[in-house]
Amino acid sequence: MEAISQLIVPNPYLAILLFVAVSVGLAAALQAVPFLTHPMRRSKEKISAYESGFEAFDTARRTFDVRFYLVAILFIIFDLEVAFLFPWAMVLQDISWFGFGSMMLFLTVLTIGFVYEWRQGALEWE
Amino acid sequence: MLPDLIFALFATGILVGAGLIIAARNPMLGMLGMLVTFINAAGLFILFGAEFLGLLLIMVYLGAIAVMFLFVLMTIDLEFFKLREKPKAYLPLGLLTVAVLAGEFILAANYGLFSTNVTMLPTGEQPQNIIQIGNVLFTTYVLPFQLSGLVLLTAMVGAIVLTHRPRSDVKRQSITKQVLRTKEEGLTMTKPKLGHGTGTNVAKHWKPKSVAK
Amino acid sequence: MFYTLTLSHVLTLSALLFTMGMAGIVLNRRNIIAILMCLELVLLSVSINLVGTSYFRADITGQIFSMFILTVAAAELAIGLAIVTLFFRNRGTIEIDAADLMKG
Repeated sequence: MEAISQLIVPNPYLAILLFVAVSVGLAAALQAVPFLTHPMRRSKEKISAYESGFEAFDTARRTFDVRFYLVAILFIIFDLEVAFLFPWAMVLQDISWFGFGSMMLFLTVLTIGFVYEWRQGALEWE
Repeated sequence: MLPDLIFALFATGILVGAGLIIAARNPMLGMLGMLVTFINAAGLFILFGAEFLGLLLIMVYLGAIAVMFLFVLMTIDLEFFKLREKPKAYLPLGLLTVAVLAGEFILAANYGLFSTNVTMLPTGEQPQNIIQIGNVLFTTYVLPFQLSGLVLLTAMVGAIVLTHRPRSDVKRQSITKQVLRTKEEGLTMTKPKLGHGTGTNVAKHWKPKSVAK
Repeated sequence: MFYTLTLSHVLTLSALLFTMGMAGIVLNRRNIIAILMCLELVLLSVSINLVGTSYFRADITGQIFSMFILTVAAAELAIGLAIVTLFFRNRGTIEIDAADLMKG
């Protein structure tokens, strides 16, 4: 028992791994058991798509507007900006004014981009 | 023993996901493979003590890049299966090259130039991973850091230039214009006589809306 | 922490992933989106390489540059996918062979 606790203590993320493993296993089991045990009697009506009693008119794959994509791109850029902010916020008292200034320069550069996209109207939904 | 097994688990997951990506005929299945790959890679990073990077991988790749891929797949009306598949002439040579490359890499990694058996583990109490990163990222590596800011700026401007098409057939609200409107330009005072209308000839300025198609 | 795992194993995993990405580019040569996904695999293999080295050498530099790789990958994808949507709008396909306007 002592040996196992020695093994487990070092990495605190092991608990998360166990959690993920158990949840994946449970989900797989809950899917698998009915699939293996249920009686399967397929008929044409049973496996056809149901849409208010009609046949489906066309496919469900409609194309999106490009504007969604533009929003996704702008999101990813600012996502990365925030990713750089996390370590900066953790060490701000150790890296002095130089670290502060370097982050301010970084933010200024990205703010220029932000102003550009605002002026271009990329944020407007129309 | 346990960490080695966990490494094997994550490595298998990464390779299975990669196999799914390169073999998938359906792009959505390829996306699923990408998710599997990156979740396992995040686990691998956390196993190697790079916790911040692992979580960043989940945040950026699964939270943003996967969404972007899906948006593109939905934006273009994909008839993925109807891509022409004719010339296979390049295939044997290409795969041979890739196999030779893999062999060389593995030889170099295992019997190669690097002294890969030396392990230098940190001694003593180490600060948190994110603090270690922050301590050098904004001081020693300030130049690459600023460069990455410029790369992000380029990506932002490039994406807007490439995809943004301002629509001219839509009426927009300009709040500034709305607020700065004065009484003189918005209002005409008339004293209409009985039965003659206002006399300002509104009909001259009125245009019919274009009929929506 | 590890008992038998050495840097060689990590480098081998990285090499396998890299070559799988290359093989994916060769196999899906026509499809731009599949090629972009395989490029992501190649970049991930480099990241794994750096993080593994960072662990076995007890040096944080590998993780820093892995972070820069992440940034560059995101920027590259943003532009690349924008080009794909534009290309699809102009040519109605995402086959690479359709991009032949500059071919003499």
